[in-house]
Amino acid sequence: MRVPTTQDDAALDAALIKRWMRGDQRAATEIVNRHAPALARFAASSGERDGVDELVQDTFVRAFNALDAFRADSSLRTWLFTILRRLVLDRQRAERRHGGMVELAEDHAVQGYNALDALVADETAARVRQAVQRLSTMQRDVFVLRVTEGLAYADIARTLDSTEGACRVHYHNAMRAVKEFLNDA
Amino acid sequence: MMRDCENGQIRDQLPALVHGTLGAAEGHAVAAHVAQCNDCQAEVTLLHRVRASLDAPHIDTAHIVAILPLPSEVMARTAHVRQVRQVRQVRQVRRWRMAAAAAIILAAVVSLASLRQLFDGGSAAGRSASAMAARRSEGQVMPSIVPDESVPVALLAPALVSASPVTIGAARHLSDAQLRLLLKEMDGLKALPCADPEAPHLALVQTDSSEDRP
Repeated sequence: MRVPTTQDDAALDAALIKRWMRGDQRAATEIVNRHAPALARFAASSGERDGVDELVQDTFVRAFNALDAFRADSSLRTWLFTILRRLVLDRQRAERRHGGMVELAEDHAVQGYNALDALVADETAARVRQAVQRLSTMQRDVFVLRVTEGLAYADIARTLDSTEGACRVHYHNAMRAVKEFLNDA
Repeated sequence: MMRDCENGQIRDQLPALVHGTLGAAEGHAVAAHVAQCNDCQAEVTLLHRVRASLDAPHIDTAHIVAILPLPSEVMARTAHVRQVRQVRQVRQVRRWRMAAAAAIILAAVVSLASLRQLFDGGSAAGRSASAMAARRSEGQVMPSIVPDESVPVALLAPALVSASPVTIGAARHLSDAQLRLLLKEMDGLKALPCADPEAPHLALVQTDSSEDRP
């Protein structure tokens, strides 16, 4: 069986965009179904678990409003991640300005997931989430995009407005930190 | 106890191996290394575990699709934006052209004015020079306004000067003799190239006019 490659994904996205531009609404449904879970996972890992629905919606609305200007310099998913990340940062900035959100200390982050852990049967999965949650924002974003979404360093760098080298370093540091946390646990 | 494999290049490729996005040759090479490396096997297991642990929250995709804009709306908006941008560009070009034309006209006016001043100044100087030459040839003496030092200025008795000095404005009250004296004084004056000439030390004294009257 042939494994689908990123080129296949890009070609499929391009075809779907063309169909949508011609007025085919089913193409929009396919695009949303293809990318919504990954966006939701990324939003949740960014600490925005409560507003994930809204963030993903806003991401798609913004993307579709500018879809005819999408030049396919990067993949559609990378572009969507970029929009989502900006929305997350905007929201965090606004919450900080209004005093609605306090920067989470490491212990608080772990406690937040502890509450969730009670509902999670798999203790190992909970520990993994704790380990990921303890990472710095940049390390976590790189790690999640690399491990759960399988993005190349070039795409991660474009999404996070960074460089490939810096992303590679963040990934390996994050992996080491996760391993250390799991070894100690 | 998980440890890092010493082969950093292979470790770098493990997430791509898990996602199946490596090319055929590269994929085989990485898979062959993982098959005989315990550290990499542990890391691949961890990667699978992380992927499974970071589950996606449920998203109502039907609702998202329902609130998406229609392609015709997006195209119309884009066309409008493009049109507005074009109009702005045209206006900007027109403004630049107007500014350039105004600058050229201003430069032309300034150069014309300066040229005119140059020519007019030259001809006026020529005219005044020729007039002076004509006067000289007619034997006229040019008036001088600075006193000749060889001629004594204070012709009148100092006592009289201090007693009742009069101003030039009062010259009409002078007698004929006094006027003649004054004119003689003035003939002895020389012109000096001085922008703010010092006032001549002249003092007119009103004397008893009955002496000169017949």
